Amino acid sequence: MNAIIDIIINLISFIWSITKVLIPIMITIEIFKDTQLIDKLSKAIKPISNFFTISEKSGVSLLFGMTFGLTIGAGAIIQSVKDYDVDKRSIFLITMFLSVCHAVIEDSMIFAGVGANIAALLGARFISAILITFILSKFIKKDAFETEK
Amino acid sequence: MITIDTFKRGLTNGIATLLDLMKILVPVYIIVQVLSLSGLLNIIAEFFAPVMSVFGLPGEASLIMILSYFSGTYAALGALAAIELTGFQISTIAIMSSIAHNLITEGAVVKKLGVSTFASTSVRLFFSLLMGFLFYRIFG
Repeated sequence: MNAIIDIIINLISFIWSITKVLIPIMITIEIFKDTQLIDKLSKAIKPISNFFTISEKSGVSLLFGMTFGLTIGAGAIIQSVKDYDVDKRSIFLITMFLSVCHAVIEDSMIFAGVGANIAALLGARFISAILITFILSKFIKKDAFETEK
Repeated sequence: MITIDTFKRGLTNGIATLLDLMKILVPVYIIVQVLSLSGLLNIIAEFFAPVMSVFGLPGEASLIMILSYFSGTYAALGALAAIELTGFQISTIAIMSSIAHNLITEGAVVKKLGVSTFASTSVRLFFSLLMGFLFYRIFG
């Protein structure tokens, strides 16, 4: 019985932990859109999206996921598909990057708290993410996902 | 121009996306919780204890990694406190755990985006093990 109560309490705090970040982020995305900040941001990170050969608008989802976590990144990606019809290849590449490297602030802080070397931690994550995304972007042709359908 | 409509749209999108994600996150989260409480993870961890020396870690550290992979970084931290480790070993665990954690739940999130859970999870496990090994070999 206690275990069930534990699970319910954990579940509620889990849902809340996502809600309290996701809602403000989704409002921020709308503010970015209405102030054209999203275009400026997309342009500013164009070297990154060009490097991974992903669509310009999807780079913003990458930033959100990297900073706030995979679930928040997923929310931003779902929204970017609705707003800008981001292609499947870009989504695949961003998701692979974010799989390895997301929520860098939170994760680094909790491990710094127990005495881990943050430079090593961030270095290992970014090297892994950049490596796998770059390699996959070279191997997956631009129209690979379109012809699949 | 920012109007009241901007906030309304953000809130509506936020709730829609939240509900969309919750459809998969809630069932998966419950499965992971039951798995953690069942004691099954301890059995899996015991099985992998001998492998930990590859990363310069004591056998008991396998429980930290199994908790990280199945449950998440916070569960791993809880187990970390119970074991005597050097600063270097903690860094190795932090690297391995930050690259691959919460694989069941986050695998479900990835699936929601139409990306293969298998691809995402195997890449994470591969880099988690590789980076842990390299860090120990090069700097240890």
